[in-house]
Amino acid sequence: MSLVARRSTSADPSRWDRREQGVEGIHSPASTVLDTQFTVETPEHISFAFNIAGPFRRLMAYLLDLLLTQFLYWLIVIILMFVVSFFAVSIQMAISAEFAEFLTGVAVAIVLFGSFTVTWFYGAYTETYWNGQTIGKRMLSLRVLSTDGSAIDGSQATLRNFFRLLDLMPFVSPALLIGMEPELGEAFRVPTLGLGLLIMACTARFSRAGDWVAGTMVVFEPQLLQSKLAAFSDSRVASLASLIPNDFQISASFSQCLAHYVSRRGFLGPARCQEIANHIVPVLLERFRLPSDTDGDLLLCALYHRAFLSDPREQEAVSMAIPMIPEARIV
Amino acid sequence: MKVAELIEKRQSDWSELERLISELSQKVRKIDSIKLRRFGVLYRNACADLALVTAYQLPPDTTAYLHDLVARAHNQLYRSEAFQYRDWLFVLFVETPRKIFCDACVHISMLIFWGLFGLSAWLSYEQKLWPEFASSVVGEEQLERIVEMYSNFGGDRGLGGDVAMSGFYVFNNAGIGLACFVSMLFFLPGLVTLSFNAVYLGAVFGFMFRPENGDAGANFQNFVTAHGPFELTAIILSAGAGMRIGHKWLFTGGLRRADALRLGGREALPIVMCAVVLFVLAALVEAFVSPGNAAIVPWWMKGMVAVGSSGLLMVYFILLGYPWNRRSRLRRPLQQVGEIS
Repeated sequence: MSLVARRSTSADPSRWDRREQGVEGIHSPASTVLDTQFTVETPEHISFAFNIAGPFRRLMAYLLDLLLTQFLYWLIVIILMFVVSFFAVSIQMAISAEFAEFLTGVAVAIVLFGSFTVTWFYGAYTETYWNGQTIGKRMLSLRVLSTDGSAIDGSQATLRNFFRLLDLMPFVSPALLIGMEPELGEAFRVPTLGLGLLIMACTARFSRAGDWVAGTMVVFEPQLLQSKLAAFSDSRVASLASLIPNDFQISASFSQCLAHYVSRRGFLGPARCQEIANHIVPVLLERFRLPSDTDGDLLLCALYHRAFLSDPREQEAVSMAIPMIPEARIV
Repeated sequence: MKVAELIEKRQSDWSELERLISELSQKVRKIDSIKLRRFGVLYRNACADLALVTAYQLPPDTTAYLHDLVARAHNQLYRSEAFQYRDWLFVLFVETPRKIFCDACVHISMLIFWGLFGLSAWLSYEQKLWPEFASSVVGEEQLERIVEMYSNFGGDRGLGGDVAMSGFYVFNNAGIGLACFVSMLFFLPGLVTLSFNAVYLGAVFGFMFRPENGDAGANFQNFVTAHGPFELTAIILSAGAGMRIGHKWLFTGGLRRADALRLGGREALPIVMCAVVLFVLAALVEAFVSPGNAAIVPWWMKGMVAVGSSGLLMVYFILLGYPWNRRSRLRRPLQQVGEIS
């Protein structure tokens, strides 16, 4: 979309404006990257945020994949070898030595060809056919998407997996570190992932070189639990809530604040609760004409109760207000 | 309506959507259409809920939950696009050869490779201009080892050995080719890989063709003839494909650098896949045809294989690649822009 916009600037300047407004969020010069979130606008005209996965979670997924592809693969290879050599002996006796040799050769070829295929095409295949996930990514709730938030296609998956080799660079020989025989050291070279990390640090979406070339990003897609509203066993909360004057409107930001407070107060000590409450409670107590020794924590809970759980008067007000509220995010 | 009631009312829908998401992520093809329709409805409803979170004044963790739910549903709805097998034939036999034929990067990498190869072979063969050239490039020991290897060449290793070696050649050579492709992103490492291969191979060729290596030289010639065309073309192609991406750093054609890279990647992928196929073909030839000594596979037969494979490459790159139809050549840049949009 944006490419065409650039090419045809002279013909249609209005397209430029759309670009400037930053339909793509992070890309646009107007918005800077503060959080590791990426806002996507869907065809349903709704925008929602993806959490972009950081390098270390992705490293874990990669290690899992590596473990699966290499370890499991070689395990199968060893079993195959055992089976083949077992049969080879009996075939050698029954038919001929040459046929047994041929069979061994076929097994070796399968192993080597398989190793090549798995090394270079495992990620490409799984990401293409499992909707942007490998086994490791699935276990860690990661998914590869295009930079515009849509799903990737086969060529993107192939490209980004080819370029993994570049991200693993530079390969360092442990011979330098532990004084191994230089010839042995040549054979065992360990990837340091330095280049990949460097590129990730320099880009907005933690793109490694492969992501960059393929135009992809990796998002973290956790399965959040459905949150329940807090329920108070203390009956004083409800009764205190009924003492709050009916004309007191709880603003949107205040209700968010209350929700944050109530969700965390279980983890705070009573003294800390009081400290937080004291920022606002004295003002509110005065306004509600309640006795000044009312418990601050209790009052905040009562306000929460009022905002989310019961609201005798606002029932009509809110339902009428919905269509008029400007910040409703229908984009 | 109060928030608690609203959440309670919507919750069953959200849970159902969640169930459908997990079902879809397990097996998309086996879901019946009624469920899929239901998924669409629920997804749109969740979208609507998300749009109205501010208006409803939902608590923040419910908002986070909705973001997550919609994102997951979105990723199940818009799925990754697999390769279309029907398009493959078109891409393989019509688009790719034309692209490669007109691709300046492939031309440059061909020039670099053959230029360095020829130069190095000549230097190594001729011995007067730079007498130590071959030994300084390849190394004295390595040269001796190669001579020794080809002196005892022609030991029949049997069909099993051939099959095993074909696997090894694919593993090794295609791996090197792909590494060359990938490291071309930063130009320099890729150029080093390409040049090193050209110079090294050239030096070995020149050295082995010296008259003093009589038997070993003949055996070497015998060995390399058959698979040469496929393998060397494959190296050139993978380097050229890498260069196609790498040069987008410098010449973006008016695009943002990231977009230019992406475009380059799309253009390069068919070329490098073509190189992989050639590597596999070369490995098969190298394993089954090349190793037989003169008694089993006479040299002229290997020569025929080389001529045949070169002929195939010619047909592919020139006959299919030449832009016979001038209009198609003109249309190409426009199509490229269209692909990204």
